Amino acid sequence: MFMSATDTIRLGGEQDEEAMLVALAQQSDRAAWDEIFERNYRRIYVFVFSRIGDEHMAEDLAADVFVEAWRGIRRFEYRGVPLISWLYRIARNLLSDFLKKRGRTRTQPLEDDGSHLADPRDEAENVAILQSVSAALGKLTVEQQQVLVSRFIEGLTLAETAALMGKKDNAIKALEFRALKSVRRILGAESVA
Amino acid sequence: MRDNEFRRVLDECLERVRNGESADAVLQLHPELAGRLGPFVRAASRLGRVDPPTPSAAAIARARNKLLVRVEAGMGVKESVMSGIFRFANFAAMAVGALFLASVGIVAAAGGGLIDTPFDNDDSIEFQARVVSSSDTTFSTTTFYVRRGASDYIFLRASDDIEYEDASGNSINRDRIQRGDDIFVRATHDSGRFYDAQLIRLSDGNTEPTPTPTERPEPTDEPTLEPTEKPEATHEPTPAPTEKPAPTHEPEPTEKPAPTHEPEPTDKPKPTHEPTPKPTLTQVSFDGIVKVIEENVYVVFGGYEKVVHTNEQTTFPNGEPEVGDVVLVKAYVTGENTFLAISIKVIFEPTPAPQTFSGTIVAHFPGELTICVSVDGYSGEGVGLCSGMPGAKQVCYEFAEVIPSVEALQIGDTVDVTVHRELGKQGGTYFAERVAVVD
Repeated sequence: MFMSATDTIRLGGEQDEEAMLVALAQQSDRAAWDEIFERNYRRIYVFVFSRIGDEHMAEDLAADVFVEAWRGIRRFEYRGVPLISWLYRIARNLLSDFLKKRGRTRTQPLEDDGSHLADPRDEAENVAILQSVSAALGKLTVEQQQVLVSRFIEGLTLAETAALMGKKDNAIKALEFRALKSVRRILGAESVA
Repeated sequence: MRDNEFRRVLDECLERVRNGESADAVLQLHPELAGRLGPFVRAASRLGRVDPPTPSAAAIARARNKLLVRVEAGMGVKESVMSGIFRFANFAAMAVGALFLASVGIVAAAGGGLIDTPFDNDDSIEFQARVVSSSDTTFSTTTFYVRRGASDYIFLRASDDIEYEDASGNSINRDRIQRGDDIFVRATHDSGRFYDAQLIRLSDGNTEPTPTPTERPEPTDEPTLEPTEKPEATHEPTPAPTEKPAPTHEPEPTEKPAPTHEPEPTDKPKPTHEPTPKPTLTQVSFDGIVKVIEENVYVVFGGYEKVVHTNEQTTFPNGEPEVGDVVLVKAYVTGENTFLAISIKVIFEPTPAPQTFSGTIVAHFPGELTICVSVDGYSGEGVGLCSGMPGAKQVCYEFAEVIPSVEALQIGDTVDVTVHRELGKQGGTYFAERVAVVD
C-alpha cells in the first residue's frame, strides 16, 4: 500500500522506507499514516496495557498515541531510530499524565478482572501480577520498558527486539539485564517468588 | 563464577522463560546458581504471565478513524505551512487526494445522468454529475458533494492542480464550480463514496461566472494562507459573498456589512468604539483543532499552537466550537502566536457514530428539508435556518428515513434523531439518518 504509492523512489532498506514513511506522514499523507497505524498500533496497545492493565483504557490511550504523533510529526526528525521508539516515548508521556490523573481520582489502581492473564483461575493473584508488573515497568526508562515488554510480554526474540529498537543484540541483552535488575529491585525478591 | 559466565547462563534461562517454561523448571537446571538467577528469572516469568488481550476490531477501527480523520482534516494546515518545504514531485502527486471533509456543505439539488465509463487504460471513470454542495475552499483541496443520477451521492475531492474547464474546454478557476452546476467529471475511485477528481468540466447551460473583481469585489472572508494587511476600513457596502445567482435572477442586492470588528486586547476592560480600525494590524486566517477552551481563550493547534482570544465582537458562524473541533479562524495578530479572533468557524466536528438525540421541533423548512430541534441541555446558538433559536439544532433530513413521513413533521412534535453515520455534523448542521416522530 505504502510502497506502491512511492515506487518511483528507490529505497535501500527498512530505514529508508521508514524515513520515507515519516516524510510522507509529515505531509499528512493518509496512506502513510494508515501504514504507521497498521504497523504499530498493536505493539503500542500491548505496551500501554502492560502499564495500566485495563483493556478499554489501553485502547483509548493507544489511539491517543497516534493522534499525538500526528500532532508532533513535524517536529520529529528521523535519524535512523525506529519510529516505534518515538511512539513509545509518546505513550510513556501519555501514560504518565493518565496515571497522575487516575491517581488523583482513584485509589484502586487496576480494575482488571484478570481474565487476560495466563491463569484465570486465581483472579486475585493475576490482578496482583498486573499491578506489580505495571508498577515496576513504570519506574524503568522507556527503553527498558520497551525491551521487557517486547521480550517477555510480546514474546519477541532477541533479534526481533534488536531490529525493532534499532540496536544490536548485545545492547538489547544489556538493556534487558539492567531492566530485570531494576524490576527485581523494585519488586523485591519475595514478591516475585 | 565469572560475570560473563553468569550472564550466559542467565540469557539461556531468560530465553527458556520467554519460551514458556516455568521459573521453577528453569531454575532447577542450575541449582548452584538458583540464588543469583532466581530474582531475574522470576521477574521475567512474572512479566511473561501478563497476557494482553487482543483489541477488538471495533476498537482498532475507532482508533484508526480517530487518527485518519485528523490527518485528513489537518491536511490544509500542513499543506499551507509546509508549502515550499516539502515540495518533492513524488509527494505532491500524493497530496492531491487529500480529503477535507470539513469543507463540505450539503444542499439539495436536481441530478444529472450517470455514465461511469472507463477512461483510457487506467482506473479513471467519467461521469456527469451535479454539484450539490458549495464547498468552502480551504487551502489546496476542496471536497465537492455531487449527485450522480437520481440518488447517487458521492464526495469528489479536487485539488488546485487538477484541470478545471468551462464547457468549451478553456481552463477556468476552481471557484467557477458552484452549487447547482452540472459538471463532467473524470476521476478515480478511492474508497466508499470518495473519488479523486482529475478533470472537472462545466457542462453546457451552466450559469455565467460571477463578475470579475473589477466589477464586483471578491468576498473578503476567503481564507488566506499568508498574513495580509488589513484593508483600509470602508463603509461602502460589500457584496454578498457566497451565493452564485441563479440564471434567471438579477444579481443579489449587496448587503450592508456587519459592523466593523474592532480588535481589542481581551484584557482591556472597556471596548473602544472608534469606527476606524488601526491600519497597522495584520489580519490572518488559519485553521486547526481546538485543543483547549478557557473562557474567552482558545488554543488552536494547526502545525503549532496558537492562542486565540475572543471578545464580544467575535462571531461564531457555525456555533461555538468545542474541544476537538476543526475551526477556521480569522483573526488579528496581537503578538507572537497570539491572536484576537474576528470569527471562529467550526468546519469539522468529529462525530462518533451513531449519535442520537431527541428534542422538539421548533421550526420546519420543508423547502430546505430542514427542521430545528430544541434539545434539552443543549446551549449552543442556533445556526443557519435556526439562527435566533438558542438551544436548537439544525437537522437536515434530506438523506434520512422520516417516520412516519415528512408531512408528519410538525412544530411541537417530539422527534428522535439519529445522526447520519457518514455525513455526521458539518457546518453546524446535523445530517440525519433517521428522524422519527415520537408518539
